[in-house]
Amino acid sequence: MNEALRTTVTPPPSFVHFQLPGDFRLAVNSNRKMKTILVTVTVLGNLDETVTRMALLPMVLRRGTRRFKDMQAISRHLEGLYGTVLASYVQKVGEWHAVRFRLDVVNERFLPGESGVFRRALELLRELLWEPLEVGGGFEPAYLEQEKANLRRSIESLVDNKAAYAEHRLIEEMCRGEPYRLHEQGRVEDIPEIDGRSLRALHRRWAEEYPLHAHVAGDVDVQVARDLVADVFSSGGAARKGGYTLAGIPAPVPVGPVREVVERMDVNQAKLALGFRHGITYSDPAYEALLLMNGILGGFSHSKLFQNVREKASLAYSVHSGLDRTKGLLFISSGIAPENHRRVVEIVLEHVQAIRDGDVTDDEIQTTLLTILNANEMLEDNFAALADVDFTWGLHGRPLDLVAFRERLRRVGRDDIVEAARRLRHDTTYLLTR
Amino acid sequence: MTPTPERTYSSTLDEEVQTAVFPSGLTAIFCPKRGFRKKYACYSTFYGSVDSEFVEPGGGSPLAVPDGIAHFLEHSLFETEEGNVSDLFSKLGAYNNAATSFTTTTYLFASSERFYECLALLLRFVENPVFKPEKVEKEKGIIEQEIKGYDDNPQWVSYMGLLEGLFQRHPLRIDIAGTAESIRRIDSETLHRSYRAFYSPPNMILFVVGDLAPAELFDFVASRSHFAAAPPPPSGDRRVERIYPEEPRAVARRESRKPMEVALPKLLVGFKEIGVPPRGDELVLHDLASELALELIFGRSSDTFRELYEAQLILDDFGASYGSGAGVGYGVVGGDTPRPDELRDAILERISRLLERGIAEGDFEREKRKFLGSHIRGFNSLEYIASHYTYFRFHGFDLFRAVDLLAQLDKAALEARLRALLDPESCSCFVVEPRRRG
Repeated sequence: MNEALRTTVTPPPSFVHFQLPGDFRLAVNSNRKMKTILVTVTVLGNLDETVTRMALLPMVLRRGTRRFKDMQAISRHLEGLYGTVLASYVQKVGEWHAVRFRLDVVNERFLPGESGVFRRALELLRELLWEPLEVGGGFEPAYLEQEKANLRRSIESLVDNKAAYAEHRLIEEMCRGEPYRLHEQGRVEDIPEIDGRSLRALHRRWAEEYPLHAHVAGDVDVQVARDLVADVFSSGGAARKGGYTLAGIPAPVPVGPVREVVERMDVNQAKLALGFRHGITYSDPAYEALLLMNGILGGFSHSKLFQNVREKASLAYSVHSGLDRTKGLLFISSGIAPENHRRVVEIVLEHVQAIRDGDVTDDEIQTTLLTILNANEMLEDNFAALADVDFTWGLHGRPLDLVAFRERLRRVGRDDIVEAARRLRHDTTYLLTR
Repeated sequence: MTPTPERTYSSTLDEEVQTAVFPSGLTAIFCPKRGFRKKYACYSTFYGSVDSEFVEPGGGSPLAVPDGIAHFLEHSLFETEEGNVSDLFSKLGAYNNAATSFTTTTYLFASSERFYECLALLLRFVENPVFKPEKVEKEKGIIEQEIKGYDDNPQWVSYMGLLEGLFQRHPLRIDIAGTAESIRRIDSETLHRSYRAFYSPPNMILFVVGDLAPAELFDFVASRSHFAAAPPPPSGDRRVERIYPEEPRAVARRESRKPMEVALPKLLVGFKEIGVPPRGDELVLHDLASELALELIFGRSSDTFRELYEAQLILDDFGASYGSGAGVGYGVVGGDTPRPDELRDAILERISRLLERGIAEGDFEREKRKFLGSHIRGFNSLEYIASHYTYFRFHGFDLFRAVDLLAQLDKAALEARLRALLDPESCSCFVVEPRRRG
């Protein structure tokens, strides 16, 4: 009976890291769980005056390559490769700006009689990154102008998602003198001056110099995958040389008196967003204490905020807290009836103070610890998320070692949690209401 | 007493499920996932927001209950004698949630540790409802806030607004959560009667996926679920009878417009169908053909997408989908657009040309490959497996056979599907337009 053969607990998955020429880091995970092969590529730069051009770059790149001259040709090629998914987006990682690509290809193990699907998908990814359709030394002008209009619309319609808009506006107000204020999609006012030649020049530097991180995960042989990626990415396209200087982890910013910002719109539900600074990053010894503190405060449905704002006082439909662990910030967001906003702010601040005062039960600590550990264990089946963790921790000089992480979490005591809460400085309160 | 589970294996997917149907009628399904840390379980009833009029088991006159009651019931089950269900799952370190759709309600948890404690809790709270009047009253405030949050969400507003424009009488036209007004009329008596009617073993499926020993799992369910252990329904006992109003062919409205606090207008164009097969191969073939056909003419690789995108009439989110439930169906085309009226005209004008031109053989072959790929990809995700397998089983279909059905479709079938679906007479549009600031 095969039930006697229960799998024993195996060590958590990890990535084998390779350094390819030209500041190109490759990490490969081999597992038997996935039916597809996942490839993520992240090109990292500083969040600075290039923000809008960087945001525009993947939008223009996916419009056409030398070989596949429009999106339709690219889409058809992807469909022929059994619906390979190829997505791109930009993201803020603290005060870095990441342009990210994700490729997801069905493993040939499930495609009887097929071969070369993975290689062909990788080749398309390389072409998309490095071999754009060019006209006269610049990007195809029609594509550029269309994508400039699309980017403008996309930035302008941030307001359509009220919760995300409120969080963005909070950050803009709170970090107004810092690079972090910039939205990952950039600024509308930068768009008109972007032209095809200068964007293509920036693209060349981006392709050759900016640090590149790739992750591969799937039922693959590590060495075979490494060689295939190295081979595909060394032929054609960019001559990787590296040499871009990334800024360091942002320094903490002093906090003055709390700022209050109110913005009015005709909304049914008001959105409240509070911003705090704590300065604790992934590599900080207090990192695990910060995670527990945030979990106790507002990370989950058992947290103080959800229990007291929603469940006991029925003041909100949603309330939660979240972290930026590179810039060192904590955000609290809530959807509320407009008339309740003062009361909600009061209760929220009471509970932040409660943790600072040590008003945290063993039960709260234990429940939060269990929840974080459980979620971290389930991460072992989610390779997109694991690749992300490996990437982010790596940027902060921390190797992906889930066993050591769980051990550090278990060792966090009440005093450490209180200490992490005491590092919270309330900076700004933002309210979107009618 | 555990019935011997029936094993089904798919060589396309290299996946297996084991299905046990208890004498009570409860179905328990297990999908083994060796080496996975996560275990995922969902307990579902074939009961959703459209089931607001019914004859109770055993007969009687039809009972019409307030809109939004299935969703309200879902919220109410979270309040138990032991405390709030989410708090109880939290103490076990597990993630939990619940969702109500037009036709189903599902309670779920995911966990790496203490799986059987979590499963016991799932069975306990779904099978033992408590509807305390004071809790019911409090829940109304929370759900009203939830409804208001959705009222500010342009995607949701346009989708529900389109269905309201398409359907004259069918309950698909009503928001899953009901309205602030309808939920005020809900009380513990109507909650009880709805629960009794639809939370019965033959109407429910428990789906578990993860690295577990099957015999242990099925024995656990047999001993801990009183829905599993319940006696078979007496022969001749009448199941709940669902009543759906007869939907006329004509749409409720040709067009609706709603000003909202948005920067960019949104357009959805919908096509209504009545007399959609209720279940089995017929339904799944119908849905699959509809989805593939719409994707072929409006998807990212279509001429339509390229032309409209290059004309700056659509953005990246443009697309088409097909939905069906309770005997009716609808195709939806659209997305964000700077010029909604022009886009609507462009879509309608193209449809007649596309119907005339038909589908190219090469396009159809590619679309089939894409479907096969995304079907295989879905099985990376425990959540996908559980939710899709359950949905199709409720509709009398084994998800593992989806690829076999694909082989039954041809170009002509898809063209016929498009001609039936894209009838200008059954079309309605919904536009969200930016409110002018004064």
